[in-house]
Amino acid sequence: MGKNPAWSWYIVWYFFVGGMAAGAYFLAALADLFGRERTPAVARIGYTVALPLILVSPVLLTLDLGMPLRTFYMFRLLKVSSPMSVGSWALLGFSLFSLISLVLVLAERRVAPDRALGVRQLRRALAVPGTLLGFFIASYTGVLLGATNRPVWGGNAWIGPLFIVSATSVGAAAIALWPVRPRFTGFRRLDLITTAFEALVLLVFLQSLGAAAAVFLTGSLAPLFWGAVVGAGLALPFLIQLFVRGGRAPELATAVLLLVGGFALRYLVLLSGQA
Amino acid sequence: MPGLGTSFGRGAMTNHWIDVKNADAVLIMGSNAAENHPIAFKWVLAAMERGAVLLSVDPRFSRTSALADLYAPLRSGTDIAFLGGMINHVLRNNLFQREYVGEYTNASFLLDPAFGFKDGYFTGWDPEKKTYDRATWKFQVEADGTPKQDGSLRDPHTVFQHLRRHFARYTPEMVERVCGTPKAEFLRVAEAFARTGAPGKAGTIMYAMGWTQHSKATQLIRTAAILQMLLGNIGVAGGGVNALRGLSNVQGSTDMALLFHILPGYLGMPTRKDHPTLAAYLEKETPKTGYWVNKPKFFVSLLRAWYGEAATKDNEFAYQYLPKNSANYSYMDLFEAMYAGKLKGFIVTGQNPAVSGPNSTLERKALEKLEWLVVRELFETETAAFWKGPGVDPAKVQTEVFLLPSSTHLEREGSYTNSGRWLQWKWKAADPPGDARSDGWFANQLALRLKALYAGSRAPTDRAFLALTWDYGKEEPDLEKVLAEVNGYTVADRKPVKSFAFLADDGSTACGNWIYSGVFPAEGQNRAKSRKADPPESLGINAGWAFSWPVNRRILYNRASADPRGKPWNQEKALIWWDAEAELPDGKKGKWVGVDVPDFRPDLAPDAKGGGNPFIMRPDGKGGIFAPLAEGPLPEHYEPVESPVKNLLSNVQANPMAVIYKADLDKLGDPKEFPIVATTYRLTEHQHTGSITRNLPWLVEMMPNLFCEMSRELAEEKGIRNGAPVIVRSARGEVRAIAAVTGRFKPFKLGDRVVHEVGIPWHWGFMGLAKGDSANMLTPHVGDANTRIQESKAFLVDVRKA
Amino acid sequence: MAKAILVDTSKCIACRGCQVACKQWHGRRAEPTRFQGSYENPLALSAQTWRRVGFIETAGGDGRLRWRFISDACKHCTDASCLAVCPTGALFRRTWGAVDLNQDICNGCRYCVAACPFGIVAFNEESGRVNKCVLCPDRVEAGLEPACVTTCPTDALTFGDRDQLLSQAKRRVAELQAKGEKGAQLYGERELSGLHQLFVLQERPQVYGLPEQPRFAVASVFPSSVTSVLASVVMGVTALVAFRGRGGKGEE
Ligand SMILES: Nc1nc2c(c(=O)[nH]1)N[C@H]1C(S)=C(S)[C@@H](COP(=O)(O)OP(=O)(O)OC[C@H]3O[C@@H](n4cnc5c(=O)[nH]c(N)nc54)[C@H](O)[C@@H]3O)O[C@H]1N2
Ligand SMILES: Nc1nc2c(c(=O)[nH]1)N[C@H]1C(S)=C(S)[C@@H](COP(=O)(O)OP(=O)(O)OC[C@H]3O[C@@H](n4cnc5c(=O)[nH]c(N)nc54)[C@H](O)[C@@H]3O)O[C@H]1N2
Ligand code: SF4
Ligand code: SF4
Ligand code: SF4
Ligand code: SF4
Ligand code: SF4
Ligand SMILES: [Mo]
Repeated sequence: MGKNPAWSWYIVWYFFVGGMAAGAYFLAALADLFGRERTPAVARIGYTVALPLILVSPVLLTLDLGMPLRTFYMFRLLKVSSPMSVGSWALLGFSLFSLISLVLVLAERRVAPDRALGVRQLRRALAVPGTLLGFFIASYTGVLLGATNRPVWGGNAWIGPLFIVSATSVGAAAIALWPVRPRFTGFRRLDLITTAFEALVLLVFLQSLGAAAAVFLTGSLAPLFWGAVVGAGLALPFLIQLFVRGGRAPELATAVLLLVGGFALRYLVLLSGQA
Repeated sequence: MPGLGTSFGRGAMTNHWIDVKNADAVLIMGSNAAENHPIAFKWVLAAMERGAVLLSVDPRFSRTSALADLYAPLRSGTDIAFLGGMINHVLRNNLFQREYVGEYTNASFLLDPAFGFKDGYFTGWDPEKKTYDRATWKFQVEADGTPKQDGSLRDPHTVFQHLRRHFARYTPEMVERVCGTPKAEFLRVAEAFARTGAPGKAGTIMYAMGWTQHSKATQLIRTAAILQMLLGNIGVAGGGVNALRGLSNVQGSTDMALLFHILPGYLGMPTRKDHPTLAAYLEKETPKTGYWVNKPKFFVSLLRAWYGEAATKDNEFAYQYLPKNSANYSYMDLFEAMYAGKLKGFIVTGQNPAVSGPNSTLERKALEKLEWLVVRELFETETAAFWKGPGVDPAKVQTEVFLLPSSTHLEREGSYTNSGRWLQWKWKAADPPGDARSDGWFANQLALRLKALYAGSRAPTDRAFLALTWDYGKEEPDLEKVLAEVNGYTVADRKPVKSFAFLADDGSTACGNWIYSGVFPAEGQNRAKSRKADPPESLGINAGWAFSWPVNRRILYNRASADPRGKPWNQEKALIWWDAEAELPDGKKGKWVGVDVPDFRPDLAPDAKGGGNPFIMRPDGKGGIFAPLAEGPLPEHYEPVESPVKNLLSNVQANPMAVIYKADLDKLGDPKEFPIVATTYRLTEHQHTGSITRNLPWLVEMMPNLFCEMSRELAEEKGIRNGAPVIVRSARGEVRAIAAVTGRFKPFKLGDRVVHEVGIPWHWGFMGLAKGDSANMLTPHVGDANTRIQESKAFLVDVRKA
Repeated sequence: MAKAILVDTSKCIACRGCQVACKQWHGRRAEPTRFQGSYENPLALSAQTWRRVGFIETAGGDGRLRWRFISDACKHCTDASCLAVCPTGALFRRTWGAVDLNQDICNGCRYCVAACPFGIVAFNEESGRVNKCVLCPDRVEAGLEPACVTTCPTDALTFGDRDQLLSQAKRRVAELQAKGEKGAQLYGERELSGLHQLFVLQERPQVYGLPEQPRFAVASVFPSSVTSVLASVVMGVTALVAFRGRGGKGEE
């Protein structure tokens, strides 16, 4: 059994913020690539949300390391066996893509209409690898935790998927919270599917833990798990989206609940491996 | 070590450390060698790798027990019963080495018909005077004065038959009821060790403070000596009764007479009453037979070394300059005298009695009665700081304390004599810091300055001091010069003597310590510095490594390693043997040869008179199965002075000759109030009073606090949790410790009674980095009948939750 | 030639010379401790304590009390989780097997801390970096034995060519078994493709707190990646469904 790495609040926030940025970005990119009329707005908002969030990430990581300059040691080499090494480079790449995507969003509006299409096409081209990077950023932290010898995490292959699904919902929530009109209603379906799917992955995850699942189900973390992750993060959003139709209020409520659930999920996963 | 001295002739480890690897069975009892002799313990492991069994007998399961093949627990203070049981087992089952016992020991000697043992007393006990009249403790003799013998060992008056009768009471059932050792476990140990009774097999016994700190310690060690003689384990490779000396140079300090009752080389200290003149001393102290007939040569040479030109034939070689003992100056007696206000000043070097002395409450109080106290130390110890200890008001203490900084052993050169009697020179590794000076420097300065102070004095009391030869240099003494004097020289040319065989009693030779003679055989040849090791697969005699006293012999009494005809009992472990063809310098044939220096006259043939007497330092040359000590000529079990149970072997509860001190602070505990047996011991991580080790953070980290080990059963009874604080209390005082509740201590079932025992390491005190109470606040001023060593291995306490 | 330390627990007398020798050679400090009811202290390996002796009271199959000792430090695994996950290259392999640590490069991410299956690597709050036993390359490459091995009085620790130590260990296990020590076994020959600290144990590894089957932490990277890719695909499709479905047109 490995020792406790004492990964702190900074890491919880990074997991959350990074997931949100990744989610927002790949949703934006997918919207950019495949969306219909309203989706360009989703893309624009997504790109816009992703960049600042992803720029916060290295700050959080650096705070956790304690000494700013040492963050750069991450880039001494690229080590494929180390999810953290690959993740660091991916984070760098993802930040770059987020930056360019956002620049291109802004550029699309500034340039002459005849060149706007070119800009959009360039942005769409970038969205393909960008999406892949987004998925990577959303999931590598889960893979990283699996590649340890801590309780709950060690050897577990389901944290990555859990984080991806959760990144989708928090990413969507971040976009949904953006004050813009007219609104995009496709999120209702998105939320319904993701929450349902997340519940399924969560089940598989707990199943894979065997007896260790008790930390979530019955241990001291149980209230938070049942209340925040299952209740606020999955059940309520699902029910709201299923039964309450239309209106900004339910939409906002859903988004907030999803964020709470997403944060709690990451917090609990991080804590359970360090208890 | 009179226990060995009376039995074999010399009071020293019979074998040496490396030789332990030659044993077929190793019995570690009364010692915790793995913890207290960790470096040397590798030889025990080496023996095990060669197939030896390791047996550990200890009240608690120690780090030594952890490595042992067999472990048996016993209640502290009952070792004589246990060993007596083993002797009985060996005799009853005819497991002893018949020829060895018959030929090499006094088993066949006939005892005075009046001699006997009854109700716990040997004949001659005087209940009024509380002492023995030893008139009957002797052999029947032939016309020529030699003891009468019965080679068949059948005569009821033989030592052998007395031994058989005496120990017949020590049955396995008795062992169980006295020691608390389950019968089966006792028998397993007894059987395993008794196997070494076969000719050619060797078993070693390793003991230390677990045996010596008892009111009948000397007899305890005698019991082991008897067992080993019965099994033919003395004088052979891998055998012996091996006293594991404590510090690296304890053997050296005993050899050099750091005890009040001897002079260097185990020459008895003269007393005013018995030895008014040199002639009286020599007459009284020189036996008629055995090697000690040479004592006058050693004694006169010593006087010649000390008093030089002032020692002449006409003035009894300055014998009158030698101080004479008029009282007992052993450790506890000194402190009792100090406590009674009879001592003015006290110089302490390399000791911390405020923590190491028994009944430390009394001993710390005693220090308050001094006018002055000099402490030469590395650290400010509890002794140096006694005036600020717990419960002491510094304003009320008048003692003037001088604390002088001392260098450490690593900061000076000199020789060490290890447990195996090897003198090894060591070199200085670093300079001492600041004003720190070596102890040699201090002694040298003290002598030189006193000489300067007394110079010209005509007072008779100063004359002895002025007459002392003292020429070892001005600052640091030249230690090789000292060693050369210790080795001895012919006065005329100041040439070193080759060995003590060249010493004379006419004043022509001088010698500071006869047993060390030969360490410096020629100018500039310091054999303590020789470093030639034997190959690892050899017996490990290592004759070329260091110098072993006497005359570089490695295994004492090695004549006994060969059978009466001079052939080794075990060819593979042959030490010496008789070579009838070997030629002597004078052309005659036949001598003792081998890998070790014979502990025997080299030309004395096996069939010559005395040719089968291996114990040359004893008057009759035979191993002393029967050998008088203060409390009797055979060992007998008595309970410790503080004991929770009645002695089952006789109505005599404790050793009738035990020394019990009686000052107001010398209280003994009532078993009703203090029903739990306690013992004290050491930990690998600390050294003694901890002056050094409790100042070293790495060691403090490993063993930070005083603790008290106890069984789960006792802890449950008292509601004590592992790791929780407890108070341990005796009639003398109480200490605060942390409970170590463990399966390594078990309650002792004595018949239908259960007796608990607890154990406390004694390394803590009120100074240093890691402070704690001293275990010696609990121990009594009770001493062994012969040596007066304190009984700190078995006393009574009570334990409660703090 | 791969080197290793062989820890023969059956010869260990728990003198803890190794524990202190390591501290001395590597300038490690003493930690504040309190006696907790066992001789063991400190209670775990840390940045200041790279080797530690465990004291284990246990009853063998025969119910007899045993006091087992184990001198424990980094195993210098062939499949070294710490090294595999280290993103900076601070942890690196010496040609002769040691998993060494370059303090200058370590950024204090603590991934190795969580990854090591034996709980060896420890974070040093003061330096903000991690520490662990490095197998004394400064000594070994100068022809000396590691400090702990040099100190061990009983040869419970030996250092040498791994192959030789393996056969030495096997002989010893056979010897112990022949003596009736049924629990005697070798640990580290195959575990994690071979450890460079081998153990002759007298009981099951668990008794000493050693995992029966230590896991190479990064072994899960591949399956985790597969599940993550699958989840990504599902989420991608979900997004498509959302974006191309009816609601995709905008507000209803
Ligand atoms: N680390 C370390 N080593 C040392 C020392 C030190 O302080 N620290 N001191 C040195 C010195 S000066 C000496 S004299 C030696 C002493 O060496 P040892 O004699 O080995 O020392 P102790 O630990 O006092 O006692 C040994 C054992 O005797 C057991 N014992 C107690 N009572 C009895 C009894 O009645 N019968 C039997 N059979 N066993 C009993 C104790 O449980 C303990 O395990 O160690 C030397 N070595
Ligand atoms: N209860 C209990 N009491 C015991 C024992 C026991 O088993 N139980 N064992 C007894 C035994 S066997 C012994 S040997 C004694 C030991 O008792 P002590 O000899 O009193 O104990 P140490 O702590 O060894 O004291 C030696 C002191 O010398 C200092 N020193 C070290 N090197 C030098 C030097 O080169 N020069 C000078 N001048 N000082 C130096 C050290 O700092 C230390 O303070 O304790 C005895 N007391
Ligand atoms: S303290 Fe010194 S003499 Fe004692 S075992 Fe250790 S090294 Fe040997
Ligand atoms: S034991 Fe742990 S720290 Fe040592 S090499 Fe193996 S994984 Fe790394
Ligand atoms: S803490 Fe240092 S050694 Fe450990 S993984 Fe991070 S960079 Fe590598
Ligand atoms: S090999 Fe070196 S670093 Fe490792 S425990 Fe031993 S002394 Fe310490
Ligand atoms: S130095 Fe050797 S015997 Fe001592 S604790 Fe360490 S491994 Fe065991
Ligand atoms: Mo001692």
